[in-house]
Amino acid sequence: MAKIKRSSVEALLPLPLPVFHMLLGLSEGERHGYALKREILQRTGGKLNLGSGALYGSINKMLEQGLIEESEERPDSHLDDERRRYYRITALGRRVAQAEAVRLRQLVRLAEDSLGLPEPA
Amino acid sequence: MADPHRIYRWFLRLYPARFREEYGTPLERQFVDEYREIQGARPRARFWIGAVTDLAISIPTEILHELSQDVGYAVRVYRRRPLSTGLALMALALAIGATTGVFSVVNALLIRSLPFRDPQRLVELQGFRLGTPGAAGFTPGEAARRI
Repeated sequence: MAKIKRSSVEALLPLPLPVFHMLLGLSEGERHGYALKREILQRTGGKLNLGSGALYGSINKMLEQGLIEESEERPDSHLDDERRRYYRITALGRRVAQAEAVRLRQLVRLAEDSLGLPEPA
Repeated sequence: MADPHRIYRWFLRLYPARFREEYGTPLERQFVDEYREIQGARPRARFWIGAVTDLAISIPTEILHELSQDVGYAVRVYRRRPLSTGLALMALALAIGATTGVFSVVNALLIRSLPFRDPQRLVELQGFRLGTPGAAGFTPGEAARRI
């Protein structure tokens, strides 16, 4: 099990894009690695296709930073695969994701003021 | 054709041991799931290129990550024990100094060539009488010819 190193919210910003997407996915419920990857692929219209190594590398780091934790709860035995590991977002992870969203909102506002963004189609 | 699962498992051995122990099984499992979903030679070739690229990036990343963790841990441990760290550094400094000193002497006496032109032609002649071979095993006439 990875060592957990609690970090402050500000120290973790800005979040790498895959980490932000993973936190968003996990904020809706527990997922295993492959489910997260598929969800991100779908959410980004196929633009962010995480390789397995990158995915589990990010998961490892997020566990160390205390953004997520491994879940002990398992789905029904007929749906479950013992080799899969399920993860859930922690309170710190939720705060960091919110802070990142606020940071991005401010960035978009700044861009809007400077560039005058067109309305979405 | 070789079993793709076995090839991928071989690549996984390049990850640091701690990471492999923790994530080797889910990585393998995910590879099998994804490979099974892909049909046709071309999509499978594209999948392999993607998988190898991912490994080529993530393996060095994980090695560096573990290395930085180990170095950080070592620094923390040594900082907590300044006396033993100081003694270890002193022993190291003495050992390096002694080795360098011995090597300097050996180098000057045995390894470095003599400060003459063609030092391999230098011979030493000593204690011989006329008509009998000397210490070098030559009579004076033979010795003169050889020089």
